[in-house]
Amino acid sequence: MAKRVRQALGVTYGWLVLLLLYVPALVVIPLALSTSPFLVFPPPDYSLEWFSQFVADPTWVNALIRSVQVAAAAAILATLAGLAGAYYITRRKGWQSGVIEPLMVMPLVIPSIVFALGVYTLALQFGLVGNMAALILTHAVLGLPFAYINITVGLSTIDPRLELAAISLGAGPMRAFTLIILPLLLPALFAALTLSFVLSLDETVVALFISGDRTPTLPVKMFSSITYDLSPLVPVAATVLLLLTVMSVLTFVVLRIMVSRLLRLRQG
Amino acid sequence: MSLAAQRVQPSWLETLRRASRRHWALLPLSLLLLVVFILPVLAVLLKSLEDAGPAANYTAAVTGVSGIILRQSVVVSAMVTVVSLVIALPFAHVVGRLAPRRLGAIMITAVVASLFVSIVVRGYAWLAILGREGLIDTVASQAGLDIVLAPGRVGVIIGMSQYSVPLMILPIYSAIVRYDPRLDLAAASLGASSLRTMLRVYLPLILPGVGAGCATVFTVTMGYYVLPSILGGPENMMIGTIIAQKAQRTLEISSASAISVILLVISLVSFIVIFRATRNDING
Amino acid sequence: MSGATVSSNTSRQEVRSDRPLLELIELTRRYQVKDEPAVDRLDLVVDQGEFVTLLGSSGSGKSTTLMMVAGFETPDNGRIVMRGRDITGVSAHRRNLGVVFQSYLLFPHLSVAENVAFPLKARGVAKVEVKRRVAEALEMVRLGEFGNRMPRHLSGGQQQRVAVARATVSRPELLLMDEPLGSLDERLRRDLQEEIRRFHRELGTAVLYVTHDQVEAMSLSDRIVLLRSGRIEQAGPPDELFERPLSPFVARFMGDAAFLAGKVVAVERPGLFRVDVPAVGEVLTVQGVTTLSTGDAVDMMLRSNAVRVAQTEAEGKPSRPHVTIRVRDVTYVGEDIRLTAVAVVTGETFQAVCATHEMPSVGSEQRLAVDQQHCWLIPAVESLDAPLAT
Repeated sequence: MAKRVRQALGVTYGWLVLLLLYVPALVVIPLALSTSPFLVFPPPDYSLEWFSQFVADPTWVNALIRSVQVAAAAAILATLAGLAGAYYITRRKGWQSGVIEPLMVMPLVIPSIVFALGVYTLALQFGLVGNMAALILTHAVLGLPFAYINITVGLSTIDPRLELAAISLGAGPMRAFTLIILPLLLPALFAALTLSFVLSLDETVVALFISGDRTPTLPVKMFSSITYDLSPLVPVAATVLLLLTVMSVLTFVVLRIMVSRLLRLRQG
Repeated sequence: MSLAAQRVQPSWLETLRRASRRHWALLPLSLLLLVVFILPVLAVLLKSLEDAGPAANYTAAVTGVSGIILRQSVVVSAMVTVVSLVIALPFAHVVGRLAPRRLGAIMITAVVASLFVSIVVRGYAWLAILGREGLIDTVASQAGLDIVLAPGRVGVIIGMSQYSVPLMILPIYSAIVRYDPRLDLAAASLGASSLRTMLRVYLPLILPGVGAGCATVFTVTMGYYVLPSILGGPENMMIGTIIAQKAQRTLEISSASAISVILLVISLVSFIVIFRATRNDING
Repeated sequence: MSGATVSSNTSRQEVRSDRPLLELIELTRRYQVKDEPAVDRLDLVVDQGEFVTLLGSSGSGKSTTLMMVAGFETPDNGRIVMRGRDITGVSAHRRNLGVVFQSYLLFPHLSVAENVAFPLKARGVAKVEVKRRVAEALEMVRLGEFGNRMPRHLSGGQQQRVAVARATVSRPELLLMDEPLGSLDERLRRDLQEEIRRFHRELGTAVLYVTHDQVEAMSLSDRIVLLRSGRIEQAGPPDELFERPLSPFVARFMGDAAFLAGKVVAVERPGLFRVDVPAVGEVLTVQGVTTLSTGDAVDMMLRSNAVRVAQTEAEGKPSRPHVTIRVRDVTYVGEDIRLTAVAVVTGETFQAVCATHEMPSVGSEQRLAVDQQHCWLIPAVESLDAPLAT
């Protein structure tokens, strides 16, 4: 009995912590629907006015589009680089893995402000502030550890000799990779893509330094607005960003289910 | 790294090695890391030696305004570490041992997923809750009180702790999951009370997880920029804020670099120290 | 790829059907420079349609040899020649072999039919043709109904049969099998051995088979190649290795036997000797390894067909050769018994598997009748420097 009470209390505490982690962010939704131009919570009344202003304002919409473009490109880059690297390193336990693996973890350990300053210094040097390609590459590096780790874990669940089997059956190494390894790796690749996409979507510090004043990403535009003029469009942008994040995670979940369903459906 | 690869008879690996003798596979990754990661960090190191010279840059970094902010950052980070530990430790225990297995798995997944919530969104949300005419202020003013926590130090600590809780939970949770509950029975069979077992067996064994969590939270918080900027205001700057200001507004890149290097050193040193202190030799 | 240039050179070599299917010439592979080679100057010929087994304990080099033939390992020395064409440097996927692995390695995301279709598609065979041949191959392994199943829904034995169908569907001239029954239980192994013999008969494909199980090797093979430390210890038909081994190692590896020490007193003609066996107490006329000569210390090998517990008066007659023993231990092993016996005259301890009518009791004295015709002489163990490991 005492144990059951302890468990009930513990689980209640657990839910409270989860509420703490999720609920505060949700206040941006009523704020986005507020009628007040100021940051007042709870809002005096509700309307869709700020939403329509957001959609009509090209600076906000462009920032949103830019964010999605950067995130998509960075995610694809990080996943491709992570795939090639993970495949190479798991198949070849040479000195390369001893050098690359610690390097991959470094972006996780080094404070992002230091990294951002370094990128900024270089970008100033080469006139790359405001250059979208530079931002994409930087975000790709930030997503790389996550992509790499996911793909490495994915590869470790695939018997490497399946590739040998395919080769022995007359498939060239490239064909063996695309027909056997790649399909089996799809779930890990989806995870890598989603993680690095969301990471780039939310990334603010590096973007603040190098996205430039006239071409901000959405979080950068929100940040500037919060620290300068506190525009009533910020909660709308925040809501949009939340929705985008939820949607990318949901897309990932759906894709994963579809892939495993695809494999299972064909039991016949 | 990969378990499956190790299980293979060594002789078979050769073809795979030969197939992966395509060194270009490593090229995109190496190039990305080199150009976009190693070079920037090197640039910071080099810049910190330029202009007024290393001595002047580093002296300026630890004295005057930035010196104060540096000390302030250490204090704030320590407080954030303590707050998130207090919240995270019971949670990790609940999820790792008390809750039914399935529920625990769901809860820990939810914790990981919460990291997806954008920092800027969090910052703004906390402003709406803690700021003037925010949720708390509105409620308090009806009771005739005036509670405005943001901008301010309390706001910074609340906001950053909320972000840090998952970072604290994960390493502690993995240590707790590795703890063999049969040790409790063993201790009880030897006559230990459950409190004694908790203090002398359980806690020491999960201590490395606690240490890893504290190290992670402290270093991450030290380098934080977005949340303190939104929630702290001018009087509660963190070291990240001053780096950004020096770099972007006043273009003192060398000075900003020197502060960055100090931040980097503090992060790495505290990481190593906390890690060493809590590592127990039983686990090697 | 390093193989590309070699293969373009060698492809000009004529493929000649009068040349043996597979020749291994001085094949050598060493993993570490200082180590003993895993495979040491191995010469081997496999003819069309032949079933050849590489038999040996782990570390004998049998798997390494197979992997070199498959193209998964590069020999440090020597050549692999198929039908007169040197394929040593040809990439694995261009060798046109079939390989069956111990763990089957069916592709988990492809159905059974798709697995079997894989080699055909890799070779660009037309769709209709693929369909027909896949059905045919599945029919051959009696899995005609299972085409749409996923591999993980099949039993171990069924997966094994799919692996065989997949490896043979492109009609390779040579099928390599690496301990294909290794992970199955005993009963299933015997069943599948029969299946494998049937596949071999029906397909007419030559098979190079690897196993550590001498019983399996004997029941399957036309020829057994017994490997030890990367070298061929003896090669020949199963009965030859079993009944007429050339060395103590082969004699012991191929199966149970009793060994009695003796000495050659005369060579009747090459391969037939007069030998003095103290445990028997008389000079016998026994066949043996041809290289033996007068005065050599030998071991006389008695397989279960050469010895039996004397029951009747006639068998036990002192005029017939026999060993008087004291029984130290006895186990019942199906039709025969396994005796641990001490020869009364010499004190030699040996194990013998032999036929009997009733179980002799432990401690009793018995006579073991010896059939000289089925005995075989090999050099005595003492004359070898290497220790024996079976």
